[in-house]
Amino acid sequence: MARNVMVVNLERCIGCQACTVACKTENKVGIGRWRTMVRVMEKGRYPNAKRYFFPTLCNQCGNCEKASKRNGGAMFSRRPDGIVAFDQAKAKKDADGVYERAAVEACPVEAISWDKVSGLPDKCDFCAHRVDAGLMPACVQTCIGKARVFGDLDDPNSEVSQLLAKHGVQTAKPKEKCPGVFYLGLDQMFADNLEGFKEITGADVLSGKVKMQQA
Amino acid sequence: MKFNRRNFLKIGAAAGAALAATGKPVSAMELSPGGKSVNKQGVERKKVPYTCMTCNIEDGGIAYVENDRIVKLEGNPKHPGNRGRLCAKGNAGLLHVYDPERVLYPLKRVGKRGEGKWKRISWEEGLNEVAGKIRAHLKSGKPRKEIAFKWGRNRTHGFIDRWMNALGSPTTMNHTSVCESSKKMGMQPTWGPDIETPDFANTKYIINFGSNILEAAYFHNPYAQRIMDGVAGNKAKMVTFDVRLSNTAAKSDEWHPVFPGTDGVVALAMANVIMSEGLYDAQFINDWVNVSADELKAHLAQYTPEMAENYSGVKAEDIVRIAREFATAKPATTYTYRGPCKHLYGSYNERSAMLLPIITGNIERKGGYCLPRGMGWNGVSPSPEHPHEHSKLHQPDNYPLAGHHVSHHIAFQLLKGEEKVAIWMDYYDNPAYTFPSSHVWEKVYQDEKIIPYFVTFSPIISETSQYADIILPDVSYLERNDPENMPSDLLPWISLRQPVIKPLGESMEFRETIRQLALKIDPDGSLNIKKYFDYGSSENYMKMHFDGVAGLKELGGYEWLKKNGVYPDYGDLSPADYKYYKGGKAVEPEYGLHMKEDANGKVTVGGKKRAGFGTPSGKIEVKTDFYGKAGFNPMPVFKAHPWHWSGGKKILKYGQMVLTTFKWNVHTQARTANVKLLTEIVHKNPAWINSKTAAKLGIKDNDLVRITSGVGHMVTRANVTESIHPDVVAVSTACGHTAGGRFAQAMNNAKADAWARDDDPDLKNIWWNDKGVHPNAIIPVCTDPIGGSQGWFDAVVTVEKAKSGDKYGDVVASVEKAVAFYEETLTYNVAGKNHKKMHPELANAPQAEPVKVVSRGDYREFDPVQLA
Ligand code: SF4
Ligand code: SF4
Ligand code: SF4
Repeated sequence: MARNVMVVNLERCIGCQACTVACKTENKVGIGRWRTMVRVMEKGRYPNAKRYFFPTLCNQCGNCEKASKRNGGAMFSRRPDGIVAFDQAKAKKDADGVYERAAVEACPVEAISWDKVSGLPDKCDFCAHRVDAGLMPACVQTCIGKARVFGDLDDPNSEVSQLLAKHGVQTAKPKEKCPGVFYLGLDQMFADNLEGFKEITGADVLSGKVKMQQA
Repeated sequence: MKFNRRNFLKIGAAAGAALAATGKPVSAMELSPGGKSVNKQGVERKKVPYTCMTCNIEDGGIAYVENDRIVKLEGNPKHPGNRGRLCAKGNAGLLHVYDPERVLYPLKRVGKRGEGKWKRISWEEGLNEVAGKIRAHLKSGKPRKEIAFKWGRNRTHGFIDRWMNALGSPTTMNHTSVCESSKKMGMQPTWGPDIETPDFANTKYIINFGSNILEAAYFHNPYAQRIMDGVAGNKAKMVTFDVRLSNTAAKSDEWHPVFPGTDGVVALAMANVIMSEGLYDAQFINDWVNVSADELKAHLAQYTPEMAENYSGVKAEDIVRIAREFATAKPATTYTYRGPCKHLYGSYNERSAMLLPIITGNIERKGGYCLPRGMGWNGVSPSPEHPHEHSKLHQPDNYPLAGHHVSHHIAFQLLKGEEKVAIWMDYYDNPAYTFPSSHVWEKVYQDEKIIPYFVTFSPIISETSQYADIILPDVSYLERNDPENMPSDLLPWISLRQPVIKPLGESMEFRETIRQLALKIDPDGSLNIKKYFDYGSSENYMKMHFDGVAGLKELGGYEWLKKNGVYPDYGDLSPADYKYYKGGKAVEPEYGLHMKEDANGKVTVGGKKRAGFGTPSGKIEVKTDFYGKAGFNPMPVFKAHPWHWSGGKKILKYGQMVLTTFKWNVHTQARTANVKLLTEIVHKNPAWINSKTAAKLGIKDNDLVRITSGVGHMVTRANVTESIHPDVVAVSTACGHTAGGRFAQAMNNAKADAWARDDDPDLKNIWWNDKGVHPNAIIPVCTDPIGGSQGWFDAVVTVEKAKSGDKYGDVVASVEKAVAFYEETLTYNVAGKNHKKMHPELANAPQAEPVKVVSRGDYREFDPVQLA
């Protein structure tokens, strides 16, 4: 069985946001919410300032599925190939009238957002419909730096397997045993501890995201 | 998500270990990188290839269509430039089609000019009115040059010239002087073409002088891919000189913040090091450069690393080290698009930077600095001749080398009455937003005495087109036809832009609008106009371009191109190494074009005549007569800006800085602001100020600040950062629109204008309310007297905390003061009083021969014959 994962090679990411926009047009994601976005951060003193680009997306850890199920929900389900898929038709409202609040808040990487029009939760599903048609996910397809690589970790010859075998890789939230998204170069990027960085794109853009607008 | 070290512990070792001992990297079942798209139900979508036009790079795309609606854009994997990938702007391109503010039928002004009151009219009425005005003018016997046409982006490949030439008017006005013209005029006399194609993917060393190629510029997407292949794949070193830590600087191995306008002297000092230390390529200079190594050494000796340090702030030891690294790390290349040329004397800066790949013999070699490769198509005949009348708006006096004209002077020339206008046509252009001292353009457009009749073809009511008297709306780039080519790869290509869907509403493709106007102006052919527009349809016109192209013809000509989008077919793109494979073999570009044997070649090397370079001598002309004869220094030199320097000393006072502008990766200058998916990523443009400078001035992050130039002032917020030179303040030009739509202007839940629509639910979800503050009004004109470019990065401003009464968004600019700067900049042209002062070294040079300037319609080519 396939195990689909994404490897993001930070050395090759140029922060161009082509992925961010391609994801939105592919998955009809409106403004004010994101399935993926590239956070841009600065650190260091002039003239040794450094800038880092950090693409973020659902890590396919399954926490949302568990939290939803605890609440009697059935919206999220892990596919055999590892993708944490979802079915908006099965979304369940919490007591406060907000769809799947528990699941959304259980996500360690803030990857789920509510559709501003329907109020339904939405997240990256590795473009499951494309993968099923033999196509790369939209963000990988368009990645200018060729930073995002997608494929089957069970196939030792796949590019993702080769990359993981060759390089030290990290995940965004190791404690969650995230099985889906791996980063190359994260250690280097955070070797100096990024606390105290200045965020150029990302923070203000993401801040309003989890606050649900009541219709 | 919180970022701290604890969150980022390694677990990768475990994941990787089990896989480490596997075999060769072959035969994995990988997913397809494109050429097909499915909807959520897995149903395959209709596909139509096109050529992108969200910027000026012309990448290949495939549009996917469902129910006559464009639902997704992807790169065309057959296009060797972008190899299947689109940038953020390209991905968002379909929103230009579905822009809720797009004008979908002709409009006629009913209120005062610029008041925003419009009446819907029929095409018949609109065309009759415009054709009637033009016909009446032609019949009146008044000078034909009073019919004026100004464009900002012209991808019609000669169609606008056809139109204006047929009307008999020389008053075609472009935009190139606010863009790259001085780069072109640095390069063309030196080696022929106006651009280079560096082989980034195969290089070992890149010196980047002020180019933000990973975010914008020629050729952002293709070159970003190749630079990452070179830097991450080929382990090339990249060194960037820039006043600001752009994303390109951030991805470089070294960032050297330079004082604005001094990259040229850094390059000259490096060339000096390379020559004096004997690190140059003697054979290449001997064979291919029109001055000897000794002459070069003697000329460059004045540019010591210490002198360059004094101006640029880059340490002399770094200059020496980087020069040595560059000269020995073969292959190596430079890149400049387009920083060094955007200063007073930018053309000299460009020529100085070119020296480095020349003297190290990195020209036309794998991994080096290569000539652009091009491919063409057939012209459409018959074709009208260029008129013999001369218009100073097309080509002003005393800029003999400005082969790409001086478009940013036009508003000033009109204010001064240098030429008269009867009818003004506006196409894909927004000078009231994108030009220096943009408020002067506003004034000119408002004045019905200066511009009595203003027609726009713009489908967007912008800062400029809002002053139109009539709007005959063009289509979006996904609904039109054009032939395209660009040297964005070493494999040449031509491609097609074609309508992906039928134009929305009543909008009409410009080529068709002009055809109908021409037939109305000259119904019986007696005015000699009709015959140039008798091609039937826009599609027929395309067929005439392409059907006869050799090679393509055999495949099926235009019809084949419609299906494939790009020619030639280089084979299958391998996602592994991003090369094209044909019959199992990788397709490799040709190198050494200048060395090709050519019986007509002017240069003999190795006993054989060679193709050489497109210069009078066939060699690279480091010393150029074009400059010499026009009264400029024929050698690459450095001229310190008199606004910044006096006798080698910096003359900026307390609080004074140089204002520089820049592009974001998600925006063009003006056209992307109403694209919601881009504007939500970048919608505001605070002023970048170095933290030390800010501390001195008592400015804290996010404080309101007032930036004052000699023209006026603006009030914005401070972005206090470590990422900028202490003498520089940077404001992006992407934001701060006063027209153009509700997304552009952060107007959440606002009522639609009468011509606009409410069909996008996101018009109620605009979550940002800061639309930024646009800086162009306060930027003075400052013109390179050689190439005619605007020195965008030269303005001296004072930055201080906002004064009481200052409001965020205030922009106050004086027309009189802007005019004074225009008058000042004229004193630097060849006839001006500052020309001699800036060229003391030419005091004993022979008197410059008078230069004849011929007004020309063709905006692309620099034709030495016309200037000799
Ligand atoms: S990362 Fe978030 S959205 Fe993705 S599976 Fe885990 S909890 Fe769910
Ligand atoms: S895999 Fe698809 S859904 Fe996930 S971030 Fe990429 S484009 Fe978006
Ligand atoms: S498209 Fe690729 S290079 Fe660009 S920001 Fe996204 S991950 Fe980075």
